Amino acid sequence: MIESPDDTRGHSAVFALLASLALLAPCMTQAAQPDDDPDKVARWIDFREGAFKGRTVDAHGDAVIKLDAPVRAADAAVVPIAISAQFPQTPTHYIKKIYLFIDENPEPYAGSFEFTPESGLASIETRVRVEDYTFMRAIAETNDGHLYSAVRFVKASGGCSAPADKDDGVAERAAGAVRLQAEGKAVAGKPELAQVMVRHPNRTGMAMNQITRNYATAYFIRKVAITYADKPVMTANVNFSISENPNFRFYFVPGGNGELKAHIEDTKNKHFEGAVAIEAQAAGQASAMK
Amino acid sequence: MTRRCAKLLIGALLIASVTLTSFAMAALAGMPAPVAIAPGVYAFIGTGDAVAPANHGIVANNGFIVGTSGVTVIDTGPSYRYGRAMIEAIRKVTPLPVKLVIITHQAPEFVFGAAAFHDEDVPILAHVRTAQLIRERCSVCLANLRKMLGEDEMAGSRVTVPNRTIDGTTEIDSGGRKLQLLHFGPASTPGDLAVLDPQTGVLFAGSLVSNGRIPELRNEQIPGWLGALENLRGLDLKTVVPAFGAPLHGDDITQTGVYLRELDASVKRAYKNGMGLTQAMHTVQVPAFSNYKLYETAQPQNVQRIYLQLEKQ
Repeated sequence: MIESPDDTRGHSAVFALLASLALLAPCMTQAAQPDDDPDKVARWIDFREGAFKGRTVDAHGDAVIKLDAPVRAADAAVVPIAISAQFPQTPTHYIKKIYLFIDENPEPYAGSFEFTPESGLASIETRVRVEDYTFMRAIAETNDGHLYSAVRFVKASGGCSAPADKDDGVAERAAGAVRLQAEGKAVAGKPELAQVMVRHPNRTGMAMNQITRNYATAYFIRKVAITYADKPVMTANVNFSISENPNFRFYFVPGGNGELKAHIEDTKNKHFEGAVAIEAQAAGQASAMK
Repeated sequence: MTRRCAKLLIGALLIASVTLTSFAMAALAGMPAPVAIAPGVYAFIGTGDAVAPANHGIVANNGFIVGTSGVTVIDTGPSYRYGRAMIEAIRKVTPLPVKLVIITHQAPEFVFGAAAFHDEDVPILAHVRTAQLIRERCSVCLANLRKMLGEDEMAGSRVTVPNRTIDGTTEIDSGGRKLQLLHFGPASTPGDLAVLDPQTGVLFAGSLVSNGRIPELRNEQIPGWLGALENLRGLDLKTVVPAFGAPLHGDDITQTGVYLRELDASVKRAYKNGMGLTQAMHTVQVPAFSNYKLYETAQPQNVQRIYLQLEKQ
């Protein structure tokens, strides 16, 4: 290509011309950019109209909800996110539902997380699949029907060095092991952090297996229902936007002794269960130990 | 048309008109001159930064060794165009033909110049696991590079699967010079090779060693990687050409191992204490390396990588 000085000059000029045209590519292809106006993305507007029917979504919901996601993700298949409620749940004022929306994903609506006053704190952490450069939004709905959104821009690239795909059959047969645990010492009446992990391929149905060159059908966890003392504390209705081996960190408020339970369903209607006994210290005891 | 697009259009027209009237571009912008490391051993030292349009993706090191009858090339840069420019630069050093290209490992900044050598019928050699990963994964890497650097910079670039493979440490005669291809098992990637020129004691360490830049963990096995670094320390090396950064001497090659040990230990500590992944990515640091290149972006990604592996155990 670079054969002689004269050639080089000619080619360089052509390349520079092409490169200058390439500057315009974002306008032609409409790829999402961090400085785009997040309120003007067509897919989001469509979803908002469909889901919230003209109700106002407060785009400056910082006092209600925060969304944390890496600016640049190394592996588009596993992007960790943390949605944090900015106030504790009380019977009179609480977040009842959080919607997760990832604009550029093939299915932008990733799902919802439902909470109750018994959740203590309507915060949720998980890992999601992200297609390309995109806005990601968490929308909190409070019990009085108000909506608040938090938005982040994420740049994710395909996993160009990710390990080769595993055997789909093996991954499917191993599916279903549930790990449910509380973090640290539970104190009665105080929001307690807990985590549920499910071994599951959570296949999108859109990825080619690099070994078999086949597209395995979509197969994913669609529901995770967590109860404490038989009362719901977190219910996730989600889809394949959640990464392989789904993992959720959430809160609940322990009383004296009670059981934390997870009931999980996938798209083949398989049910998986997990349970752990929680022995909460009385609040007075805990403070005496400080 | 939005205001931003209008600005871009004006910019594009300006660039086009300036270029068409002045023709003032270098042969290959950002191409480093080859540095003589030892008699017959040359290295192209990249910027060591993250791949970006400003550096044309020329961030990694590569080089060549001139024997009595031919040249051995070690790694090939990020693009077809870079591979072509390497060929030109080698011709200015020696009239001897390029006999062999060795790809030390699978990573986008090292593999895409290979097509230029392949077009001249030069065999491309790699470890069998590297060849496999290139076949399976490099189309994704190539798409990522195109997106980052643009169609123009990547023009002609394609995935070139190595056509010669080895599955362990081997001594070869290439271009009339004996070279040792060292494989210590899965380390920074499953198929790492380091290339030793015993005549001069120069080692091209491939992805095993970086200088002034933290490594990006992708397909690593940390115990294997640390073992490989121990093996390197046992060799009588005069100069080590790392994957990124200036050539190294003596104990300076240990920096990558120090980083890996501290990173691994601190992620394990955070995980054991029940820290969530997002918080771990924000808070787990290896302070001694915070001024190294790539730290800001690669450190949280490396934390994530180790954390997720711990979770699977």
